[in-house]
Amino acid sequence: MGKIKSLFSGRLTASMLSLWSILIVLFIITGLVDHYFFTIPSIGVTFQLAVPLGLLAAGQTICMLTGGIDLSIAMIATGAAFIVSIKSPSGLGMAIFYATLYCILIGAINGLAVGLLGMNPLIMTLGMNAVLIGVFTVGITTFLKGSSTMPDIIIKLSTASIIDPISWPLVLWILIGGFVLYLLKQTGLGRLIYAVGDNAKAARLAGIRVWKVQLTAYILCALLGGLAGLMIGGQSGAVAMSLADSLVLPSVAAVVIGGTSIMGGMGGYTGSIMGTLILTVLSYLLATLNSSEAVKQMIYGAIVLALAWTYSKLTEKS
Amino acid sequence: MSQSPILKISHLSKSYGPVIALRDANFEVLPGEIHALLGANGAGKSTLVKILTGVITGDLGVIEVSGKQITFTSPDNARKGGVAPVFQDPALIPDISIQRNLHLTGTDKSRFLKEILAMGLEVDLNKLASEIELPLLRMIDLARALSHDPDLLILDEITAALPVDMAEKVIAIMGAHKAKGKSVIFISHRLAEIEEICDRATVLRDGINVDTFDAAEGSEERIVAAMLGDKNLSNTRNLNRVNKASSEVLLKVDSLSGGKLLKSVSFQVHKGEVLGVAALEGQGQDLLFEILAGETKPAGGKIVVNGKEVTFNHPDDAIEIGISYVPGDRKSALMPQRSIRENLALTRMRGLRNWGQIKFKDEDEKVDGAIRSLEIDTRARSQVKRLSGGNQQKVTIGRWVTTGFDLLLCFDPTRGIDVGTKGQIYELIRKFADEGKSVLLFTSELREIALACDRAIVLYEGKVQANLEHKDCDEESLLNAAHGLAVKK
Repeated sequence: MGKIKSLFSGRLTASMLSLWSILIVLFIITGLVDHYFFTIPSIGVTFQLAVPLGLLAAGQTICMLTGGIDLSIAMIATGAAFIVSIKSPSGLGMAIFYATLYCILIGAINGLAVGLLGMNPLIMTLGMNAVLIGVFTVGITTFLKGSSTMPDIIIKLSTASIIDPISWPLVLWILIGGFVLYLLKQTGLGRLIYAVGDNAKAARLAGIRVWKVQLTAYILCALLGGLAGLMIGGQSGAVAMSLADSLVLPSVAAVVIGGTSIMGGMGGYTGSIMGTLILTVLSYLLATLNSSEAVKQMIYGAIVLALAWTYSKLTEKS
Repeated sequence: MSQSPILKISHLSKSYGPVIALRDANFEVLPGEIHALLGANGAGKSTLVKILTGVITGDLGVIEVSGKQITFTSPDNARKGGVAPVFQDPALIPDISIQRNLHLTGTDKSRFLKEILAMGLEVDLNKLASEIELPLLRMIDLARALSHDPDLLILDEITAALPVDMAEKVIAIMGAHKAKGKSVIFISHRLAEIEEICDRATVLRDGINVDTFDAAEGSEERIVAAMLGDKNLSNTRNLNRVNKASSEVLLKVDSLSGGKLLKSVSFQVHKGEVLGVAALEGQGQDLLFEILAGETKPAGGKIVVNGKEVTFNHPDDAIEIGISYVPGDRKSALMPQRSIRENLALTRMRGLRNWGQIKFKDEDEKVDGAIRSLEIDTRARSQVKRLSGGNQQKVTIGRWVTTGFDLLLCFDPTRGIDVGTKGQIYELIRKFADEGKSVLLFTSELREIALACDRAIVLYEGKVQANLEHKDCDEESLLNAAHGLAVKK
């Protein structure tokens, strides 16, 4: 039991407290604007919608803790969903296998470029995203032609409720989220992810093969991104090129809101979960207020900028 | 003395959250005086300097410059008020040229060049600061401060990173500054320098000034007593000098070369031996240590460990066969935002087989053991950046205590560390040797060689200039050899 408790690090730090307050305030405001929001099914749906972002944020947390970032996560997610929808006629197992292979491949290229070639992660993954957009744009009319609907089982796992407000995606999130928390706090790899992000040179001098840690981080991030992609695909029923586009900025925002340093080495997934919930409730609120997607993106962008500014001020002081 | 002080500080205090850096500091500097500011790590020296130069502001207290109460709000502001500092770490922006660096602080180029010339140095103003070696960079910092002709020059441990010849230049410069009727605050851990040049000394302890006195010859004992308070230091002088090293050779280095500086170095380290390395700055010692640590590849030569020739592609290869490295720059060895525990246990995670579940019970044991045997102060355990320099250094050494090693490469482990911690570190190094482990120790303070080492080699122009037995490791012989002169027997 003690172990499980330590996973969620029982200390309620000041920053955690403020995240909770923000979430509760947003929750109440949303409920006041839209009375339906306070009903059990509505809470269930809110959680359910939070899961893909939560998974993307998990990948992003791992990358950002090593001092990196993965901006190709949108096309990793979309690509995985495409591959599953196209390959599903030849069996779900094969479809998932190909999608997994795809995620590992892209994650490995990102990781090796950053870890061994010393590419800037921002540039590398942004470039990778552009390349993937190109590949799939050409692909869906040629070598990737086929069905664009998701298999039923994935649709069910992405949307079906078990007992309100608990749904299959939520259960999945709890399992995978628990694994990510375990990985970061209880394993040697977790320690190395923090160490590499904090001071890569020192990690190397301590005998750590830094590139292996970065490679693993980008692969894990891509796998989590792929899983998120399947879930987004499942929730919308069909796949399109812009499937995960609108979630890239929120995936970074959720991590930054949660207190993970953009420079790496500080933070954790607990914060990112809070960040995910805050952004999901905020997005619900904006939808109730009839805001357009453009307004949402503007607000996410502003949040990231404001937080980045606040953190840089904070680190300046200390 | 009836002169009115140029600087007077009364009841200055500063806290960072719950950590009190300065409690109640009082001291004054007279015109034409070189005033030493002393104290163990964490005594509040750096905080005091930062407040004096406008980097941070104090919580309470009064600063008077030439009788007028002032508060400096920025370093620029302080410079204009006649106070110019040279900080502990180089204050030049690495990626722009020296010329542009000068421009940033509004420094007059011709005056700067005049100061550099007076030091007998040469600087290419178009070079990037990052291309220049640390000692010269420190002198550039100093020349920049001097070209503002400050009434009060503050030197924070400037000599710590300097080889002997340049340290002597700094001392001469302070003398000249004093002759002009201006004042210097001099912070240093090298007590001999203090006695040589300073008029008075003020000792800080726990953020309070505990003693001020004339820094005459023989005040060393008084300084140390004031710095340490109740803590006893006698043990640093009576280190056990029985050479128990075995005749078995652990490491044999044969005509090793690399980079521009390391020409051809050969020596041996025996089991259970502390081998000292002495050299002026820039004789290839940095590279020698990096090569032995597996951080850099040599251009030529052989490294033989336990009779087998080895090549290292990564520091991990060296660690795997028992060679561990404590780099000179603590910043390149620590994860500043992580806890003492994570820093100490880091090397345990080497290799894929250690990526899984952490063995917490074993880790507790090893980490607690290292904390106990190194007497690491764990009050600020959550982030090592909050530890004092001495404690940080203990963490970098302690890391290897948790994993174990056969040969420890220690590069200037006591640079900028207070006397008490220095003693502890040397005791620890002796203890390693008593346990049959070997240590290769470079130190920029020559008198520490005799204190800690069984033998010493002296590097000069990338080669071994002298091989000295312990009885010959006096400062004079070492200094002679370090300057390329023959050692008198």
